[in-house]
Amino acid sequence: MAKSVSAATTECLNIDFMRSLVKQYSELGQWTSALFWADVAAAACSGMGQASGDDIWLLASAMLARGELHRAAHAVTSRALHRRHLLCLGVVMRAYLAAKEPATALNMMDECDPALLEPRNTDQTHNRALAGVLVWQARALSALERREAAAEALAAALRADCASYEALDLLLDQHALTPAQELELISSLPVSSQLGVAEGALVRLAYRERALRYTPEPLPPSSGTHPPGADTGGGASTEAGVEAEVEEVRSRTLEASVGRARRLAAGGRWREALAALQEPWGAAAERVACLVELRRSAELFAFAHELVDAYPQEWTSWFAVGCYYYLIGKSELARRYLSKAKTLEPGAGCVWLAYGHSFAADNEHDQAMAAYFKASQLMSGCHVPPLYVGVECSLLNNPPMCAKFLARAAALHAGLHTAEQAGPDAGRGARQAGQAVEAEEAEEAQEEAEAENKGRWECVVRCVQEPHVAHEAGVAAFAAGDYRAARALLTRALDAARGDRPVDEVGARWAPTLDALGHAWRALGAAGEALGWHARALARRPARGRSHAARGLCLALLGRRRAAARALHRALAADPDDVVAHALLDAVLDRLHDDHAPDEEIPQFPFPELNISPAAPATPAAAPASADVTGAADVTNMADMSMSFD
Amino acid sequence: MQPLLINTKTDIQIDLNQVKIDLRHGIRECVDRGLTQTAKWLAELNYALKDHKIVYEETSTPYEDGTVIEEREAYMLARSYFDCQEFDRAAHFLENCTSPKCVFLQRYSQYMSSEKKRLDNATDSGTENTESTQVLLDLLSFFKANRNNLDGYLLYLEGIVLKKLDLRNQAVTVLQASVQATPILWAAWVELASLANEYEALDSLQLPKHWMMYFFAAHAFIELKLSDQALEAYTMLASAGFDKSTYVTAQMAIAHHDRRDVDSSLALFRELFQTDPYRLDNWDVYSHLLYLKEKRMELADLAQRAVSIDKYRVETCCVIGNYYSLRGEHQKAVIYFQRALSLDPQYLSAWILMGHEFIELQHSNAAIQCYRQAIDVNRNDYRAWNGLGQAYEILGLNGYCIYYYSRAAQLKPDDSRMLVSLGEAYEKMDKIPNALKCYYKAHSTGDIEGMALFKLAKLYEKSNMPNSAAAAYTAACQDPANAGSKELPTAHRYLAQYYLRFSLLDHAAHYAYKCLENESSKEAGKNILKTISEKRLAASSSSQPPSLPDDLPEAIKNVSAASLSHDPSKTPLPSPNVTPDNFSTPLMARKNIKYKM
Repeated sequence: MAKSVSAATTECLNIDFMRSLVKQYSELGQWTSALFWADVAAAACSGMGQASGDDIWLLASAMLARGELHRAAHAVTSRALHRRHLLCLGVVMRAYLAAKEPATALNMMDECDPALLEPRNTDQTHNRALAGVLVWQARALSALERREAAAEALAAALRADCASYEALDLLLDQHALTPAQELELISSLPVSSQLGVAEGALVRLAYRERALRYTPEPLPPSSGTHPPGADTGGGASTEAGVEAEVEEVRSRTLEASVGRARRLAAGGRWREALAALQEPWGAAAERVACLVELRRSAELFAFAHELVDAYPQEWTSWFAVGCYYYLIGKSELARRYLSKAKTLEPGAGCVWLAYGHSFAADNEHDQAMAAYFKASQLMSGCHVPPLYVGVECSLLNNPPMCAKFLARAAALHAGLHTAEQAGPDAGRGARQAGQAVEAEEAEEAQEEAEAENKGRWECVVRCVQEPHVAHEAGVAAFAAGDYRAARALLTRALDAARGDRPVDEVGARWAPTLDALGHAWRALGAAGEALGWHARALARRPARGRSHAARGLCLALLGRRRAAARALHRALAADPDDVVAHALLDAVLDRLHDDHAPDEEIPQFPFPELNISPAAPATPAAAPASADVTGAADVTNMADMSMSFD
Repeated sequence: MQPLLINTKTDIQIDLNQVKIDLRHGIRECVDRGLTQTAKWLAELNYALKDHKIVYEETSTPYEDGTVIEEREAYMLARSYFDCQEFDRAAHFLENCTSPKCVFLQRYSQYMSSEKKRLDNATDSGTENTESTQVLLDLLSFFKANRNNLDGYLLYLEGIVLKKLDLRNQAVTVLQASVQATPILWAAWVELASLANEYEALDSLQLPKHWMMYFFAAHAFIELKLSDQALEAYTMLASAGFDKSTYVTAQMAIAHHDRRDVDSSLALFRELFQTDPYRLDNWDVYSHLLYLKEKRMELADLAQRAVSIDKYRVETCCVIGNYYSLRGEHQKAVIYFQRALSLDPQYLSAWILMGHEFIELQHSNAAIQCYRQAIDVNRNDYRAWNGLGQAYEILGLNGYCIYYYSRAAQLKPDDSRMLVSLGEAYEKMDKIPNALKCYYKAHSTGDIEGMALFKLAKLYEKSNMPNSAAAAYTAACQDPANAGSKELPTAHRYLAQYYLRFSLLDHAAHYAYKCLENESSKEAGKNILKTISEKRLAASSSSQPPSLPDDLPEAIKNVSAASLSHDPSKTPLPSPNVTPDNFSTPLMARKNIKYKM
């Protein structure tokens, strides 16, 4: 270490100039130059006494940037600067985090002067540095699997510095809070005291958009443009003009396009979502999701390859590869690459979800459920993992558990919507939903009774807002035999999916819901209604054998056996091995004959004995054949005949 | 607007000048939009009218191609791509165009592209093609969004999209609007005809009063297998000036084919072949006629020609398939029908013919698959239903048989073969009354195979109704068409015995002599004759009128009373005054030809 510079030289060295050099070289990315000059500056200072914290901070930062992690840490810790200089503390923590020593990073923080770690009302620069430290703390904590503490740290970071997008991004990526809590946090941020009017508006808008990632983008007529004011909630006192301008600027940001893509994807509009992701390298996970949903395996293959070549150290690269193998149905390989992604980033919940999907694709429901549970732990505020756990429970024929998890998923998601309607109510909504889950658990203790069976789904019905959750719950309820609940849930799913459009314009994605709704109506005895739903489903998935078979069943139930037979034939034409259609056709044709036998046999019999017997004698003379009767005598007639023998 | 004129006995008036003007305009419009098939059809019609000269007012109507100046380059580019079947590319370059022609070409390219891909991918996996469906749904939402500014061509496109999505009712509505807007668009009429699958549906259509409507009506009659009406309609069209049209001739030939008038049909096809030797259209029907006539050489020649014209046309494949089928090489025939189907999975006849081949190959399940597919393409084709009936008959599932045969019989009420088959199925199911009814109906609609009466009689015999049996047998024996039938000896023996029972010896003797004609019944005939002569002897010795049995029908009693009076000179063998409306021999001419369905 360059400490032995003599004090005499300091006079002629312009420290301020050297510091500016350090900054300039840092900006230029010339870290070695920066390090050299930072070293000199620090040495020059230390000649005059203790080197200033700022200089050491510059020095350590340059080292850190050169990848000399422990050297950087030593530069700070040897001077015990991490105890009294927030910026230095930040650098040390970064260094240890990069060196994968999160515990040490946390120790460093513990050693720090607690007064430094308090936000200061007047000093935003301090707060900003503090937010940085808190973010590192959160990273360290989540690396140590202390997710709740990490979430708290992130929330504290956000409060200390509203502009710290990293804190928000991290917080939302971890799904540590429920959507309701997220929105609550965002609206409680002291934005107006920390930022100007316009920036404040921007921050509110951007954060909110970021938080609403699971709320489908409003449909075309009003796409992209949010009604200003309605969204920003209570605290905004800005003028509409500023807001419109901010909105306009924000809509051009890269972040906004990713956010838009997320919300489009949430509404199942994958194609548009993919189009919204214009940047080739950004938002890899989102792009992967779109490509998987659109089943564009070739594109996904190319994309994953590019990613792996360029960023072999990023978990998203391997996640993309895993998703590719999942998409083409090679679950084994998919799991291998997803495991790799997991080791690179243990906290990524979506990797575990994909991992679960790969098991589910192999019908290994237990394994899948374990994976989904893990995802659920990692992203405790997200509704997706409990949704899949619920689906798996249903597949394992465990309706009570299924209902429980789907209710949780619904509650997690529903909080968000209540929040959207009225901020303060959000928490209560979530709590209510939580209580509902608890109540549900309590009910399950008693089990069995029919009435309860009904109640089981009721709480899902009550709070479900998310169409996918509603659909899965509806299907599960149907499988469990509670058709009424199934109908309610599926109707809810459809309502949520269609927004304010008429039912007939709901997308092809919802064809299964339409079919399921048909089944539910039929099970409830309204076969006529069911027919309509199946027809709607068929308009979206034409020539699907099962839908035709279902139509056939409905028609048969309505007594329209001929039409039923026709529908079943269509089903068999589409899928010759459809066992259900075969069995139904057998039954329908049987009935068709039964219908006919009494009909035709007695009243319409055209040859009653009496009617025909008089006709019989017509024959002996061979007369009735009109051509023969020429009025000639019988003799000629006979002669005619005899001719024929000769 | 007026409902479709059906049964217009009056001569139709078509202003050929107007037709020619319409055709000229229509051809251009369709060519510009890439509607090649319609353009071809119109051009053929135009060519048929080439002797009808009119003076075009060339100066007054400079041809307006309907594109905005700025879009002309894009349009030209896209058109050329479209003509090269690079549909995606064509659609891409028209993305932002607004003129109607460009919009149509863009959407049509998208449609064609997705259909082409659906066809190309169909072999890879049997599953539904979600990509193509998505394209269709997207197109549909485009149409919905632009509901108010769709021209006739776009309406036509919407119609076919709706039809692809199996939304038939909506498709009919839209296509009606389409032909209303652009009556010259033949493709829309054709789609409409294929959708209006019942006579009533046809009747309820609201169609523009335009000369195209006559073509539509005739075409629809063909579709509905109303061959007589179709013939009439085409004759009228021919007399109105379209007599040189190859299309009209071909359609007439098809109508003849459908009404089993093989010779007329063949004559027309041969004539057509002379005037337009490279016309592959409808050669599938032509080859089927040759198949029916078992003209092996001619069929082989036709197949050779077809191959030399275009190897990869559905018609060509069909001709070759028929040729192999005639040679009894069913496996090969199947291969060619399959090829036809991979070229066009909606090609109805190939599905049906392939089903027939599988039946020949004793492969009932495969045949059933084929027929089911055929029904999926067009659920009103009786051949497919009949085929299903046959296949299930082979499998011994009579319940299914009855359903399928009765469907077929409903669709083709004037064809006795299905009724006979239906009757047989009923017989096997022991539903005698139904079976009787079927045979009876088969007989009265004009029995093609000449089996209905015999079957009817046998069934009466079996169910112990001797009088009816005798009645039926007699009718059968008297029909000249049945001469030489294998069933005749049985009938003669039965009748002889029947009359013998009532001691109507002359009648009995008459049939007994007939029995002698055939080897199988010779012995029985001799025995009966012997009994007759014994009885005659006994009767002459006793000279007492034999007591008539009680169960003899009333009418026979009269007859026998008369004939027993031994006064033949006065009373001719009387014809009882029973109006034989039950058993009148149908007037319809019978054909004994082997007619493959």
